[in-house]
Amino acid sequence: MDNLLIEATKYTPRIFFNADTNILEISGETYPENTAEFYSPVFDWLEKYLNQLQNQAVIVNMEIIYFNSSSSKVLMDLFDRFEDSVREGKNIVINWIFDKEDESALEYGEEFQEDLEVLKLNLVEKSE
Amino acid sequence: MLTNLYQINQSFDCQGIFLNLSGPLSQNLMVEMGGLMKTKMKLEGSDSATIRKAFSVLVELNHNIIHYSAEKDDENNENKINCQYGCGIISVGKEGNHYFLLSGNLIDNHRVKKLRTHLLMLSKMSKEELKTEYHNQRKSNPDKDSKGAGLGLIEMSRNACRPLEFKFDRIDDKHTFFTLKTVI
Repeated sequence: MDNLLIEATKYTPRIFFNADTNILEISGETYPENTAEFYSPVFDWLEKYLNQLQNQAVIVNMEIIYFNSSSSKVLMDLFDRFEDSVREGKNIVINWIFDKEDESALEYGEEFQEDLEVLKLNLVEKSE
Repeated sequence: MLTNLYQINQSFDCQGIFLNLSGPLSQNLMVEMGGLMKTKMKLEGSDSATIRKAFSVLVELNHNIIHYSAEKDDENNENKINCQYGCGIISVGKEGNHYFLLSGNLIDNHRVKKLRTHLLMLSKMSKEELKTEYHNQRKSNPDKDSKGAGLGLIEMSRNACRPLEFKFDRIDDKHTFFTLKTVI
């Protein structure tokens, strides 16, 4: 299937979901005016991808510097979708990448961790 | 008229307000305002966590006005620009050692009761309770009246150093002016 590439703007992140390597990346800031509109194609792509996915290992790298409250909800929905897939036996791991100078980014990752049951979320310090 | 503008400016100065947006608001205006605010706070020695909190509040306030101000999508409104963009006022200031953000906009009268109840509830919560509320809300489906996730006011309360202050001034049979103050 096709990859998904959405370039970053001032208030939306870069999204690169690679169906060949099974590496899904979201990086940057996310506070769009209309969150549902921005993320709708992302969820559409993901649905197709997860449906055709077998037992390959999927790595989701998330390096998000800032997200607003409605993006926070979207990220939670995204994790919930991955949790469902993990329950179905899929092999998915999240890397929450943070800069060590940025305490909040680490806390955000920890707060998502608290809300996850079966999906593994690693807190990964960014290497220079 | 020129004298009036000077008086308006003086009145902002007196209240410690150093940044102001008033009228139709947009995402891009907010991004620029946020950039100026961050720069000013940095020059004045704020740490990155404080700057992030202030920016986060600015984003939530702006989205509240863009999505919920009474003029937005009101077909009877003769002021078409306010109908298209959402209209209000956002101010950033400093009192003592604390930065604060103010927002004001018209809302429909029928929304006052629910909003006041919600704000009162949040104002009584500890930081730990606000965190739990945030997590519960994030896990659940948003209220039907909400265009976002219903998390904005909780997020602002978590970023504030004390409970949010709010005021509802009834304007007429349709509208109330809603003022909100967040101290960082």
